[in-house]
Amino acid sequence: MDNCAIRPRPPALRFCFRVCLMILLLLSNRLWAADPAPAQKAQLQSKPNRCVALHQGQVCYQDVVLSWQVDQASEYCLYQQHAEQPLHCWQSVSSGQYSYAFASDTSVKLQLVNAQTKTLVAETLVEVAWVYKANTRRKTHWRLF
Amino acid sequence: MWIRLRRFVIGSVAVIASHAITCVAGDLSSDVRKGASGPDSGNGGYVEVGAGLNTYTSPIVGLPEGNKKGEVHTEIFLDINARYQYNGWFMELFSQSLEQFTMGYNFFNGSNAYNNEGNWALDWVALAEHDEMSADESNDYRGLKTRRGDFMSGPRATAYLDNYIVQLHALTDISRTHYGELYSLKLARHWQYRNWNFHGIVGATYRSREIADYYYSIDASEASEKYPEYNAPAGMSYVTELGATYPLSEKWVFRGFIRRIDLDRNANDSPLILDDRSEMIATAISYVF
Repeated sequence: MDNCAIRPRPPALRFCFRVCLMILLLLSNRLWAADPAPAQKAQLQSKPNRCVALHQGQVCYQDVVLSWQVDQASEYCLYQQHAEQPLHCWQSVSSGQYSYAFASDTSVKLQLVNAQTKTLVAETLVEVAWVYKANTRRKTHWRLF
Repeated sequence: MWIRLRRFVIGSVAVIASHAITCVAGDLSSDVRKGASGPDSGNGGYVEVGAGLNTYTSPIVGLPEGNKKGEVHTEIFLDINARYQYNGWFMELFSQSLEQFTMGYNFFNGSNAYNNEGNWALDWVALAEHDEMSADESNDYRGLKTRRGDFMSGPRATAYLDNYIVQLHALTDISRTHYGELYSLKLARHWQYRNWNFHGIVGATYRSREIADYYYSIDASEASEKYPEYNAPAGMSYVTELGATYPLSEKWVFRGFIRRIDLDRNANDSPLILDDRSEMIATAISYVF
């Protein structure tokens, strides 16, 4: 019969075990301490979230429906990233939907912002893909083999 | 697969292209459908495989066998589009082009002095322009001597100017089949409406007397009641094409086009040519690897 389980641990092993336990306890304390207040649950979805153009560099067109939902009713605005003007704003609501005529040659991030606190609540990406990548462009050159 | 491809090439594209008469470069046809704004000068390539439906009238006797003037033919075809380039050497095959398999070398790429865009290309190309006409290919040629397929080579110049592509071919026979020359000039334009890419092509092709004589003359030794003696002169042909390409996804592409070829008015004086024009409508869906 294997009696290793009841055999006393050597002092070095016991020391290591205690140090590991202390590190674990410290870490867990830090984790608990760092646990923030529950974040506001927010969702922003785009359907579809992908636009396919034929050729890299072409503007891609897609009718996108953006749906969002948050916990607390407030004033919210929907922005295209880096744009100053919102696409649409809502007052005293906790959800909304917006039909968006997407047209871009690059992927675009759309952001839901709480207009009162000026904080970003949620964001989603409408990705631009293509079938044929752009030609490799070189400056004027001759070549012979 | 190759039998079907060959059947398609011979039975539809060749009907209009090789014998009748005009040609649109694979590169031009392919580039204008992609909305390209410059030559493809880098190493690498792509392959597409799909299926399509092709409806056409053929102006050539025996293509397909039993062909009659104005008769409409419909067939399913294997749509293969491929291009590969390495250090300037390239090969390309584009089912919807009027050209067949083309090999070549790209030895110059130029830039427009105004906007520094890489939009000129000079290639040396080699390709089969005319397919064999023999009793092996079609029973309609029984009693006629065999007209061999040729292989032509020469420079191809392409200019990309905004949404326009202009392409010039100057080919000479290097297969010692007819010793003829062929010159063609095509202008293509593409438009984008939402994710649809529309294109138009107009072009003119000159075939020297040697080519016309070899394929469409009937000499005294083969003349019969069905095929009376005839001497074909050099001739022009003209192509007009409108088409659309749509990306169904990143991997699937839809293509469709309508094409008309006009021959010289006296082209059907040849006992081997039934009409002075032909039309083709084709659609295809292909997978891009």
